[in-house]
Formats: sequence, C-alpha cells, structure tokens
Amino acid sequence: MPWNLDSDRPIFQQIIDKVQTDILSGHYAPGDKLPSVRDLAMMAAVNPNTMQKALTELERIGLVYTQRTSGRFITEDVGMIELLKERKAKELIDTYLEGMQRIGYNRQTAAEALMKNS
Amino acid sequence: MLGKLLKNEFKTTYKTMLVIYIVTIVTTLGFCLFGVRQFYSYSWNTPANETLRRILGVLGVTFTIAYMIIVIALVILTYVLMCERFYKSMYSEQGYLTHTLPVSPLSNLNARLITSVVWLFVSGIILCISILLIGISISPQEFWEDLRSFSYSVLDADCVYSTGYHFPVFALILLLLILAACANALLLVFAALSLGQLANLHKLRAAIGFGVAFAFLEQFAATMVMVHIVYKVVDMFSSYDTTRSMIEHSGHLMRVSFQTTLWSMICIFAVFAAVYYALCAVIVKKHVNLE
Amino acid sequence: MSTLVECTGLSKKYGKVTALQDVNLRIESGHIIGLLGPNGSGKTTLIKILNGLLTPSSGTVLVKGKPIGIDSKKVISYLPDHTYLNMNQRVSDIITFFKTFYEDFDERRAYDMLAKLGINPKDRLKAMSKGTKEKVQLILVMSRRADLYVLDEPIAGVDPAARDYILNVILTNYDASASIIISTHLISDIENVLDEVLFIQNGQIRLTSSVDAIREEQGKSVDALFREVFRC
Repeated sequence: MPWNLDSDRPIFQQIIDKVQTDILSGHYAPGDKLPSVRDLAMMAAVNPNTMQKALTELERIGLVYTQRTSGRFITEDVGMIELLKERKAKELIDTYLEGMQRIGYNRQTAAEALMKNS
Repeated sequence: MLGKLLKNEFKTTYKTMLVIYIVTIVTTLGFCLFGVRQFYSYSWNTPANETLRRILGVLGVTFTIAYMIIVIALVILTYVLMCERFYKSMYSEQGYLTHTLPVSPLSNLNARLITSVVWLFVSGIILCISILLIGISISPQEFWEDLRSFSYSVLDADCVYSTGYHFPVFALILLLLILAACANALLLVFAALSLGQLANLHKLRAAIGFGVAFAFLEQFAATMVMVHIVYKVVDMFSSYDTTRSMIEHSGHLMRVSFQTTLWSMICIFAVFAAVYYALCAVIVKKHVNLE
Repeated sequence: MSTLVECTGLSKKYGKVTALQDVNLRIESGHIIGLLGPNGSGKTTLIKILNGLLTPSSGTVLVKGKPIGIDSKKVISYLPDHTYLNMNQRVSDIITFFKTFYEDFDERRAYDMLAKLGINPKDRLKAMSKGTKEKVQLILVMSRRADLYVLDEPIAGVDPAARDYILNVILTNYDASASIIISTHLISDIENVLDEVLFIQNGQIRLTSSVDAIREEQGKSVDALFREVFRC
C-alpha cells in the first residue's frame, strides 16, 4: 500500500512528515533500524532519490543517524523526540484554533468546545 | 554475432520447414504407393474386392492431386514463407526488437538472406528427391538403368561435348546459377519490402509496386542480353560460308552459345542481386522507418 | 553521476511535417525522468531516435559519448508502446533469446518475476491476455542491467492494480547508477516515482525541471502544471 501523498507539496517534505509521525506514534521506537532506502522507496512508491533526500534531511536535523556499516537508525535521544512531539502538537493546535476562529470561536470557547467533545 | 543471429533464424524457421518437408515426403510416398502403382505400373493387379478397389481408387486420386499441388507449391511456398519472415521480423512490430539488438544492421540482413537461400535450396533438393522417388516407383529396374546410362553419359565425353565443361565443373557452375537465382529472387522481394516501408502510407502497396518494377527491369535486361546472344550466334553461323562447315562446327557453336547463355544468366542474377542487396543495406543501416 | 545521453540540435521531419525541432537535451545517470507531452508531441519520435529506429534529419545524439549504434543498443533497454515480440514463441524461448543477445540480461531476475506473477514460462505469448503480455514485456526489459531504460507509455491502458505492479517492477529493478525515461500522458499516476520531468510540445522541449522544484516553486503538482501548460 503506497503512502498517501498530497499532490501539491514537495514529496520529500511529505516523506519527512510521514517518518516523523511514525516516530511519534511509536511505529518506530528510539534506536529502531529503518528499512533501506530502496525498500522505503518501494513501500512509499516514490523515487529512491527523493527518499534518499528526505532521509538525508532527517539525518541533518538529527532524528535519524547512520551507522556506516549497518544502516540507518532512529535517534535514541528521547529528549529530542519529546521536543519534536511538542512542536508537532503546537502545529496541530494552531491549525485547530485557526479553523475555529474562522467560524467565530475564540481561544477560550474553542478550548471549552474541545473539552465538551470528549 | 552473425552466428547467433543465424542460429536464431534457423531455430524459428526449422519447425515449419520440417513440417512442409514431411508432408512432401509423405505425399510423395502416398502417390508412389497408391497413385503410380495403380495408374502407371504394368504389374498392378486390380483387387477382386469391390470395396477395397474403391478405397484404393479414392486414395490414388487423392494422392495424385495432393502430389501435383505439393510439387508446384513446395518451392513457391518456401519462397513466400521466407519473404514473409523477412517482412515480419524486419519491418513489422517485431522489427522493434530486431533493430534494437546490439548487432550490426548488416548482420540482421545477412542472417535472413542466408537462412532463406538455404531453405530454398533444401526445398529444391527435397523436390528432386521426391521426383526421383516417383521415378523409382514407376519401374525400379528401368530407373536404375536410366540412372546408370545417365551417369555414364555425364562422366564421359558427353558432358564435355555438349557443355564444354567436365561434369564436376559443370555441376559447380550449375550450383552457382541456382544459388544466384535463389539470392536474386529473395533479394528482389527484400529490396522491394525495404523500399516500401520508407513510404509513410500504404507500405505494402508501395512494396508490391517496387517489386513489379524490379521484376520488369530484370526481365527487360535479361531479354536484351538474350537477344544480343541470339544475334551473336546467328552472326557466327552466317560466318560459315557452306552448310557443311556449319555442320562441322555445330558442336563448337552449341557450346559457345550454351556457355554464353549460362554465364549471362549468372551475371544478370548476380548483378541484380548485388543492386538489391546494396539497396537493402543502405535502408537497414540508415533509413529504418518503423511506424 | 555522468552524462548518459546528449542530444544536440536534434530535428526530425517526415516530409513537410516536423516531429522534432532543435532538441537539446542532456540526461544524467541516476534519475527517473518523465517524458511528458500530449499525443503527437514528439515523445515517441525522440524515443525511436534514441533506439536507432529512426534516423534524425539533423543534429546528433550521443549515448555515453558514442553515436547511436551497437554500443548504444548494448546499454539501452527499450520497451515500445505496443507488443513487439513473436507471439508464437514461448516465454522461455524469448528469455533465451534475450540472454543470447544482451550480455546484461539477468535470467534469474526474469524467472523470479514471472514466478511471482504465476506466469508459466512454457506458455506461448499468443495464449496470454493483453495485460499479461505487457507484463511479460516489461519483465524482459527490466531484467536487463542496462544503463538506460526507455519505457514508452508503460502504463497506458492498464488497470490501477496493474499500474501499481508496473511501478513496483520499475522501482524494484531500478539501480542507482542507471536512468529511466518514462514517456506518458498519465502524469498523476507516476508523478511520485519521477524525479525529473521533460515537457515536450510540438517537437520542442518546453520545460525541464525536478518534480520537487515544481511543487516547491509553483505549489502545484506536475500534473496540474502540465494541464496549465498544455491547456487547449
């Protein structure tokens, strides 16, 4: 099953998002080994070069590290993952609030509506 | 690479040819057994049994007709099949594979030409064998006697007298003539098909047009040469002032005119074949035009 | 990375009709390139020239620095946009044929892929469905270890499952040192596997870009851009 990718954002960014989500959701635990670029590209049904580019970017920001002989791994730095989680959460909250404000809620009423929803 | 191509050509054609040859031989044997013996053999005893007689009669007629068809069709069918194979593998959809193989375009052409000449030649030999079989079945004793006297006549001075060549040389020249004729006939169609595929529309129709034009040109050239030879012979005859000396020299005249005709035919076949080959070569090298 | 294909001033005319006009093009190794254009834009003409099936009217093509010929045919694996095999043959015969003529043909790869699809190598092509024939052809072409794969409309007229299979075969057999040119007009289906695109129109190259550059700069998919560029 190919990954669900949007058609209007750069593919490598969407791959980065997808891997980040997989880390936060626990699909990949800290220290887990990632599949090879080829296998990941196959799974996502994307160009291997694009997958490579995305992984390089993930490496650059430190979420993924390479061990020269044995492949790529998810970072073991739990603090870093926490940080990522907070940032993602903030992004989602911002999106939520933006949407709510558009239909006439303010921060307060939006928060109340959220609490009531459960 | 030519070797690999040849191997592949024979591999893809041999089954069809084998079937055709088996059918030819079986029909020949059937004709020998049921046709010749009933209709031509002196030693045939009509069976007393009515049903058996009928069955034999039907078999005899069937094999006779089948044999007539086969004898006429064998070489023509081989020829048509080879031309079809050439067209299909070079200029139809399969041409996409043929022309993208990492082999020289000329090897592609040569492989098809050699394979086709060989099969045409083999068909000719099968035809000869078939006719010999008929000869044997009519009357074995007479056949062997005829063969013996024939071999005497070709091996002694007869051959030299009538052709001017010893038999082995004559046989070689004859072989050359046959090969030149085969190559010529095949290349005429190959060249016509190659030129035809250059057309953007109606490729086959264009090919037929070119083929007819080539055949006409070749006939024209052959006729011109033959007329020329006849004139020469007449000239030679008229250079003798008496009928007696003409008769004395008739052997020589016959040999000269025979040899001239033979070599002219070989030359015409070879020259036209060379022109057709050159046309094919230029087209497969530079101007393949697959739609 | 090195230059695989270099076209300079390439033109092709059929009588008065111009199919390609002054095409200058350079293809590097290690890319999957989409050759995109409407019908009759010159895609197939360009592909046929690369494969030596057509001679250009003017201009030059170099494949790994050499003109089109035996050397270029050795390194290009070509899938035409229609069936091109002898239908009377068995799949195993054709595999033998490919092995005989292409040094880079990997027989095992071909048999593995056939086995995965459940195709019996002893079957004759003419006994197969159209879709199966197309898959067999793709398997043969992708079983070569070529430097350049040229696939002319590999996904035209196939169902979505077959399309996924085809893309899967292409990605599985893609080797980072090779390049693949895929011509198509069904862009959205293959957009994600491309990294470069070439837009071709009326025999001329309209645009060369990377897929991510288009998305980043234009904020739209290649498919959307294509529809815009080639609006009728």
